[in-house]
Amino acid sequence: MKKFFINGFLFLATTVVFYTAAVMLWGSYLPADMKKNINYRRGSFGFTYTRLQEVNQTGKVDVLFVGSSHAYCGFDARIFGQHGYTSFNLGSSMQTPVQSDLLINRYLDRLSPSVVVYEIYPYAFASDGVESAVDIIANDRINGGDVAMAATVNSIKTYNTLLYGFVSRLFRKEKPIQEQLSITASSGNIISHSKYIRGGFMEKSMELADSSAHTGFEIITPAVERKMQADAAVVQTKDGKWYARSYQLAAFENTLRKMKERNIRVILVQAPVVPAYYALLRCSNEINAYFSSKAEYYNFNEGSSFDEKVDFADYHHLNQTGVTKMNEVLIQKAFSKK
Amino acid sequence: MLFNSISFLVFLPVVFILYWFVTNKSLKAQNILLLAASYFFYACWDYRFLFLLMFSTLLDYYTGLKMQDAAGERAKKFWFWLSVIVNVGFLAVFKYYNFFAASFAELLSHTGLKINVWTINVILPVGISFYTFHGLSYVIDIYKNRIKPERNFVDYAVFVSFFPLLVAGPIERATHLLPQVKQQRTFDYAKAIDGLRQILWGLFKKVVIADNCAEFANLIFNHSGTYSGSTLALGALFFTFQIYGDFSGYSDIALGTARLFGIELLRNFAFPYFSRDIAEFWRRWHISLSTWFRDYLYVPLGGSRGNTWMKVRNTFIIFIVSGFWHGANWTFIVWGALNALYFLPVLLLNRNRNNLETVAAGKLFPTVKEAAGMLVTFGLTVIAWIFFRSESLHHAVSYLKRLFSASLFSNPDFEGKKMAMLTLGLCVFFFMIEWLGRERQYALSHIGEHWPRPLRWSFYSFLIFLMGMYMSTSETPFIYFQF
Repeated sequence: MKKFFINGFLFLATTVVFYTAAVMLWGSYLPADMKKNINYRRGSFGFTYTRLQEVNQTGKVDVLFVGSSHAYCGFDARIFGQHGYTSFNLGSSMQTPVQSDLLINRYLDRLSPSVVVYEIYPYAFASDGVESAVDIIANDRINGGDVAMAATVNSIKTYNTLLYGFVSRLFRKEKPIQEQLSITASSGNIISHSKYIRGGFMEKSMELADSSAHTGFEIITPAVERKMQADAAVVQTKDGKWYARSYQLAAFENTLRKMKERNIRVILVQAPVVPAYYALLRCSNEINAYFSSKAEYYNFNEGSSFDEKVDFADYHHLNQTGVTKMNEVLIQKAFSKK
Repeated sequence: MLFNSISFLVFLPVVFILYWFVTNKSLKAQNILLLAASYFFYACWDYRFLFLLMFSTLLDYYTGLKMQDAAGERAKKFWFWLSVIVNVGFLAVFKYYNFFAASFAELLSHTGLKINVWTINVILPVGISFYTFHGLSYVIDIYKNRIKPERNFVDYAVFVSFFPLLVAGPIERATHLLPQVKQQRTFDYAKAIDGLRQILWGLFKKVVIADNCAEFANLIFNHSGTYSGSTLALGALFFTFQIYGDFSGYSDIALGTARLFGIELLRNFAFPYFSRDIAEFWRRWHISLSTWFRDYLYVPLGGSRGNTWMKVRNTFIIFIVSGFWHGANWTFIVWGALNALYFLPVLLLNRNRNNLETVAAGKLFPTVKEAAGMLVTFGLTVIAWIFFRSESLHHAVSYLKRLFSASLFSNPDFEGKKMAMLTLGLCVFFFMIEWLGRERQYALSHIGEHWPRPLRWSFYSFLIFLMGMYMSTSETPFIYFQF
């Protein structure tokens, strides 16, 4: 039996060394498609790297935005600035409450906001949070908060990425990178431009490749319809009940508790999506009831007039026209009370 | 609790340590611990069904004793049939009632009669088909005077509920497992290491091969109407690898886990995809179920004795019942019947006992004849799996129609093609190891046997790394849990 335990321990030690070395090799040299459970991409989609570099140089602000891409594509620091509010946008791609909680813990003292605008995207509450976890691990400093986040998300992909990031920074000095801050992409007849704006915002503007037949931006294609249905199925059960992961709700409520303790005003915002998508969510009343019971809450899908062909970049993101509209309304409704 | 879960990673060492360090002085204490651990393991799914398992165990234990003590043949028969009817009754209610009710209503609707059948909304208790068959074999063996009933309830309950085999087999026999339960067990280093090695290989099969293949099999089967024939062929191939990796992986983990406790379970798989004919395939696939049906259904029906008609009839019965055992759906019945059809030529030509030894034993490569035999058998199996995997008969038929269309010769096109190719590469690596180890109990027992320890351990670590790199990000249950 003694031999069994000694050899077992030695084998475990061998495996830890081998595994770490293999993760480093795999992570460094294989193309992204071939390494299913590592995603260590510095400067990845959504300008997370630049945003987190900038936040480390930023001091006190009036308003802090957190949330998914709807936050960093939806709350424009320039518009808030025009109304006299300094702000920073800490939104990141597919950010879920677990990551919002981590980023708030990490940067709240530095930014010391008097208002936190917390963007609510029901899909994020149903999501496992892996995509955002690896995004933040790769693009921000690594500390105990990331380990706790990995344990909460509990996915092998997050653990591998964390291990890769940790060893990479321990043994190889990672050089700062320069992200491309303006990206142009085209889909069908639509050309879209994404541009990083100081303060964490990403501006999305659109134009038509062939503007001779301008009838607005046709963003709802059959493929998009299938995607909307698939997304809606994630957010709700078959009988139309809202589905949210328990650890996401716990992280969300934890953040609210901390804000309350520090006397920071929290505004919850559900950014608009195209009406056809919102109509698929049979659990909207349940969602609205939950969030309105937690804090001051604005759902821009209810009673607002966003035009699918004018205000949207895709089925759930606003373009700059829509952003301006939403920000003005939000400032008027929520900040005039100040 | 899944074998491929964090909770099992905690559960197993805890039970192992208690078993060899706390209860090692007393066989009775060891068996009580195994029973308690098994009931805990089962209750982790749904504690309510634990009572069903306990009831079934008590019933077979009691009827076994009553049969032994019965004054005459009539009383013995009574207790025997009581056990059979109650056991099969539970299976019928939980697993087959809705199927029969819906099929009956559909049949009537063809004659113009419309009835509203009363269906029950019931969860299928995990492992019911397996532990019911454990109990049935026990009472049948007592009834046929092959064994004496077990008087120690704990020992009998461990035989029925031993956690490695509780939810998906192998389907054990009292003659094989009960003597081991009753025998003092001592820790054997070589056996324990071998058990861990088999667990490692089983996990690799499940999390790397089965779960990755499942992603593409599910994608292609769920949207089969939109893909080309070549893509559907790949989908069927992915499912073929998935079901083997999933079920034989489970069996390897079960056998390895049992070996850690000094218990040998029946072998369930013997490299079935290297079979040269369909009869050999069925001697190598889900062996504990095939032999169960052979001993308790095929032989009592007359087996291969009697005229040709009797042989054909018995073959169809055993395959169709075997198909139906897998689930309450016509797809399983057709899958069974199709395998019976495959079996007919070898049966009628009296070639069903031709390939009894391992293919190309002692050689690296098979002969052309052997390779051709394996290829044809594999191809037939792939086609049969389409019925097994499809949601309905209509789905299976349309899948096959589309598969065998002109688009079979087009380039496969589906989402995630690169990852699919990588998965196929992992399957090639996997089958190479399986081929090299085909003369052993399980493939990995042979690989690295004579290598220096650092190299052997590095190879095992590499397998663990592949699991970490390519496993699914969420725990995925084993396919056979639903049976």
